[in-house]
This record gives sequence, structure tokens and C-alpha cells, in this order.
Amino acid sequence: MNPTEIGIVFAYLLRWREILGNPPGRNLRDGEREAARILANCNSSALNDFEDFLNAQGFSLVDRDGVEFGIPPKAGTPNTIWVLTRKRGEDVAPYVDNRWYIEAMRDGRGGDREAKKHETIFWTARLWLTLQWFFYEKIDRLPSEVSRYSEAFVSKRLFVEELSSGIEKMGNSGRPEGEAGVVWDHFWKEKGKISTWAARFLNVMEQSGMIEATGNKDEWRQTVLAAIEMADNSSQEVSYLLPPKQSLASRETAALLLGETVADQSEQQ
Amino acid sequence: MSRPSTSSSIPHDVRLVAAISRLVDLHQSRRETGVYVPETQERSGHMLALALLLLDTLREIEMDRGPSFVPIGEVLSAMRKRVSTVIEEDLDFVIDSLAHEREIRYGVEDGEGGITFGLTKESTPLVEKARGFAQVQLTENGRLLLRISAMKESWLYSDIDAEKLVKAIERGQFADIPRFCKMMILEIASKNKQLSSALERPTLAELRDMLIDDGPGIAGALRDATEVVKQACSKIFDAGTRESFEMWRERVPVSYSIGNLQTEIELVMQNVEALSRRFVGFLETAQRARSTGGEGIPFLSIVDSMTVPSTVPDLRRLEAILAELMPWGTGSNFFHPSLMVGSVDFTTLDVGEKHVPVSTFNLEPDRVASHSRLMDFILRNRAMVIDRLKASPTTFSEMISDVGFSLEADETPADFFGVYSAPEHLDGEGFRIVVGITGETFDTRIAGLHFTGSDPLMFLTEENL
Repeated sequence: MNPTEIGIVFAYLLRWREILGNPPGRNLRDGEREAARILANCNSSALNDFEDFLNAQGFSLVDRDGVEFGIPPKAGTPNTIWVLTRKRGEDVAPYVDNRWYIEAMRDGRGGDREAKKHETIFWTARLWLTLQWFFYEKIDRLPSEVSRYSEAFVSKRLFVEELSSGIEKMGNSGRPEGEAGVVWDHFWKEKGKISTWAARFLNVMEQSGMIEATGNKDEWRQTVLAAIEMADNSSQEVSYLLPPKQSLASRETAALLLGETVADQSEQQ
Repeated sequence: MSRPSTSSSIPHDVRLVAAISRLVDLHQSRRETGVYVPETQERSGHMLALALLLLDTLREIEMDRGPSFVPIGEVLSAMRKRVSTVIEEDLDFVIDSLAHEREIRYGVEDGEGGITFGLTKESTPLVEKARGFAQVQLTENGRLLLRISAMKESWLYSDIDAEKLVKAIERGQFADIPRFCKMMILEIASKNKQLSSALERPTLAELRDMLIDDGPGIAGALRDATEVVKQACSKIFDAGTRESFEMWRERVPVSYSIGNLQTEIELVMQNVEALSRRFVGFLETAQRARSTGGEGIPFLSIVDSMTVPSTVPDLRRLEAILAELMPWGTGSNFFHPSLMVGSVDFTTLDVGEKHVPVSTFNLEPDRVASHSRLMDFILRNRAMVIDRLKASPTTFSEMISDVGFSLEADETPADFFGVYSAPEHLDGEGFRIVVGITGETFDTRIAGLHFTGSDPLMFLTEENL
């Protein structure tokens, strides 16, 4: 893998985050065949070097054989799937904006900028968690079950319905006091715009390759990229969101990751 | 009451019945009344079991004495040897039922984008009763069903049937090879996916246990398949096969060559070998650690907890966690050197030649300038500045207002501001200009423009000090 080839593959990965030599259900994208060929021709030493190059930027390259997901191999075509994921525990390079989602999801019109940001964060969390419910809990699937990615569907109609019923349930339980009341307000105030939030979120997820169109209008499925990332990294991050029965050890781990102290947190609570 | 069976423990002939049951129900349904699902009684199982037992018994008798009518009494006693509770009335009912014809309406593509319809009755009875006699025998249709059922090894376990590949090569049926290879590749891919499911979900106990229990058999079958495919591979590369392919190709014009078939078979070989290795690896892992299984994530409970006082998430923390979960962006609207992952000092690349890059800035593209505008200005006024500084230290604002700079047509004293960026241009002749910060600011107008800034003090020192 010479520097030119590294450049070709890296540029492709930065844009699409996945390379499939034999993509099922879609055509090869511009440059995908070349990127797949370069990676398929690499020996393990070259791949290790490339991995080091990616690690330094907080990334990692995951490769899976397509046949493991039931993709029949074709002669003369690499059947491997390569995915660019975050390297867990490493900071991403400064040119990567991991708060990008706030700008992408924010409704820039009117209102206090800071308040809008808070609203965006809570709404994004709600939307992301609801989407994952469709992909995992609803179809009785574990995050480790990558190969079932092609069964994980969501439609805009069902997504909005699920969000609406969640907000309605929240409204029926009444506005709580304190901080929780502020969060409650963020959701309740925007209950008339659920469809807009959902559309914006699904658009962001599609643009970033986390979901792909199924061929039916307003219907998507999880991508293999999103499934691999969830199995490798995200499911562990989600555990920090789990509210009840948090052990001291997990609080400490979370605090360590976020540069807080456990005492700080108990003060906040 | 018996416990409902799991799919892996269903008898193979029942699997066969179940596999076509929805087609029969669909055939029987009326479009206007919606999807038709007939209700079954517990007795249905008894009847089906009797029917299968009857067919099996008739076949056993047939294998002994050849195809012929058998007295129903003899059949009954043979069946009772296996299942003692068989009643004569039930058997009569089953025989009458299986001997009856029924209509099957069907359609076949006519090759012109339409369907031609047909009807069959004769091909439906499974047994035949001798008219007026208590004698029964299997029909051709019944024998067909039993033949298919007996081939369960190939359809139930869907083993990779590599033998047919070898036979196709030996018999010169080259047209079948691409299709066989594709079918085998698909089979390998679906088996691989099945293994992935068992590996990814340790709680999928049924599949896992089935694979582990049948493990040695499956591993053996895969090994055998690998061997047979290897055999097919060596046959397809054989000179004799090449010759017979060329002869066949003269008769049957096809677009592919023997090389294409060789590639296809090699692909099958590579993949069947890989599957065999993966399965052995799976058996080792699965037997070593029969995991208790992972846990799902209650996503909607987390959503609900966001508005509960005791569990409301901290905003800063939520933002940080979402930054890990949400996709990242790379588009940046600004540039800062820290965005660069690495940096290179190009001046060190050419060690032999000391090369100092000179930046030039020319407002008039037509004018041929030997130096930059700033350098021209400084060279012209340098002596005046040094003289002024020799007299006494001077502030920057005094320098601008007091020194009568020699100016070109489009220049103003404001051009002297450029010296901020390159004070070394004024140095020389054993002197060095030192700039000291005074904390004062200046505020002046030059050629109608308003300038303000910190007002440093400039003074000369000797170079060797």
C-alpha cells in the first residue's frame, strides 16, 4: 500500500465510512471498486500499518467477510466489508467534529441559542434511542447480532407514532419538579413538531450512512456500518445512559471518561 | 397434551407437509374472504400420523414383494406391530381419504408474459383401492412423495451436494456447472450466516445446541464436501475435460470458456474450505464457553428516565455520550494549524542550499517590481529612520508623524506599518532596532484613514552588545 493508495482508501473511508467490494442490493459507488481492490490486495503487514495510521487519528478499520452475513461471493470480486469506526478510548483527530450532530439537528430559527442547543441535545438523545429501539428491542435482537442488520427496519410513520406515544405518555405523567421539569418542557413545548424532528433526524442518519433506503418511500434499514459500530462501541457507551441500579464502579468509569469526579456527580444529584 | 415441537425436532415428512401447506391453503382460499387459515383439531395430528404410517408400511411391503395390491387387513396388522393403538375404522377413513381425487388448478407462464391455466386431478391420490375389494396399493404419486421424503438428507439438512458437480463434469453437462456452483455458493453463504447467528447470539440455544450436537457430523460432511469439490477442481483442470468442453462448445454455443468454469469451481472450493474451518472454530468456541448470553438494552426505558427527577441525565454528560454515539462530521468552516495531523518544515528539505522564501505582494500587476512594496519603502527610507533613532529613542507614532518619509505616488506613511512584521529589514551597519512596549496607544489619521494601536518605543542598540 503506497502513500497514493493510502490516500485513495482514506479519502473514500472519510466520505462513506464503508467499502464493500460486492455490495448486496446497490451498485458500487464511484471509487469503491478501486478502494476495495487496494485493501483486498494488502498483506497483513500493510494493513497493520494502515491501522496504525488510522489509530493515530482515533479511527479503526474493521473488516468482516460478507459471506458471514450470507452475501454470496462472486468470482474476481473481494467479498469483504471494511468499515471505519471510532477507536474506543482514543480521541478523534481535531479535524473531526464529533459535536457535528448538534449543528445538523439544530433548528436555527429564533429563540435563545443556548436554550436551543440544550433542546437539540435532549431531542437527539430521544430520537437516537427510539431509532435503536426499532433496530434492536422491537425485533428481539442483541447489539452483538450484526448479521441481522438487514432485518432492522424503520419507517417515518412508525417512528413518528412511537415518538408521539412516548411524548403523550410523558405528558400524562405530569411535569416533574427541578431539572427533570426543564427537560420535560423541552419535549412538551415541541410536541407539535415531532414530525419535523423525526424527518431531520432520519435525514441526518441517512446522510451519514447509518440508515439506507429500502426502496419503499420513507422506509429505511440499518446499515452494516451502523450495526458493526453498535456491536463494537456504541452498546458500551449506551450503558452509561442506563439510569437505574448504577454501580459505583460504572459511575467511576463514566466519571473517569468524562474527566469528572464521582463526588461532583453526587453533588449534582 | 403434547408440547408443541420446536422446528429442529419436527419429523422430516411433516416438514415436507408443512412446507407446502400454505400453498394448498392459498389454492383453497377465496380472495374476497381474506387470508384462509383452516382450523385444525387435535385429532388432525392422529390422522396425519396414521396416513404417514400407512404410506411407510405400504412401501415396506412393496420393497419386499414389488408393486401390487395388499389386503387392508395385512396392512393393519403390519401397522399395529409398530403402533398398537391403530383402529380399523380410522385406517379405512384414511385410506378412503388418500384414495380420493381432488382438483388442483394451476397456471404456467406461457413465455409471452402471460399465464396459461390448467387443471389436474389424477395426480393427487396417494393410494389406490381395488374397486369392490379390500385391497390397497401405492399410486405413482404416493411413490413420488416417498421418494422425495427419502431424500431428506439433501433437502432437510441442505447439505452441500458436491457430488453432482463431479458428475456434471464427468458426464460433460457443462451447462449445469455455473448453476450448480451458484447454488452451492448460496448454500455456503446461508450456512455461514447461520453460524454467525449462533455465534452472535449465545442465547439462541436451540440452533446452537443443534449445531453442537450434530457438530461432528456436520464437520465431517463439510470435510467430505471439501474433498469432493477438490476432486471436481482437479477434474475441471484436466486436459481431457478441456477437450470435451471444446467439443461440447461446438455443439452448444455458449459465451463462457472453460476458464470461467474453472474460476467458478475454485471459488466454491475456497469457500467450502473456509466454511469448514470456520465451523471447526465455532465448535471449539461454542463448547468451551456455553455463554449465559448477552442482555438487550431497554432503549425506551432510558427515554422515559430522561424526565424522571432521580434519573434525569446531566446535560454536559449527555452531550459527551451522544458525541460518541452520533455520526461525526468532517466539514469544517475554518482552518487552524492544529487541524493538521502532522506538519512538515519544507525549508529543511534542501539542506545544501540555504533558501529563504521571499513573499511578494504587488498591487499593480503591470509594474515590474524587483522587491516587494514594503522592501522598496524601507530601502528608500531606512537612512532617515536610523538617523532619527540615532538622535533619540522614538515612539512609533512620532516616527510616523515626524519623519518626512520619501514617498512614491501611491504610498503614505502608513506603509511604514509593514515594518511591524519584519523589523529586521531595518537592521544593519552594526545596529539593531529594539522595540519596547510602552503601554501607550496612538490614534492618528493618515490620508483620511483612521489608525489606532499600541505605541511601542523604538531605539537602537549596537549589534555586538
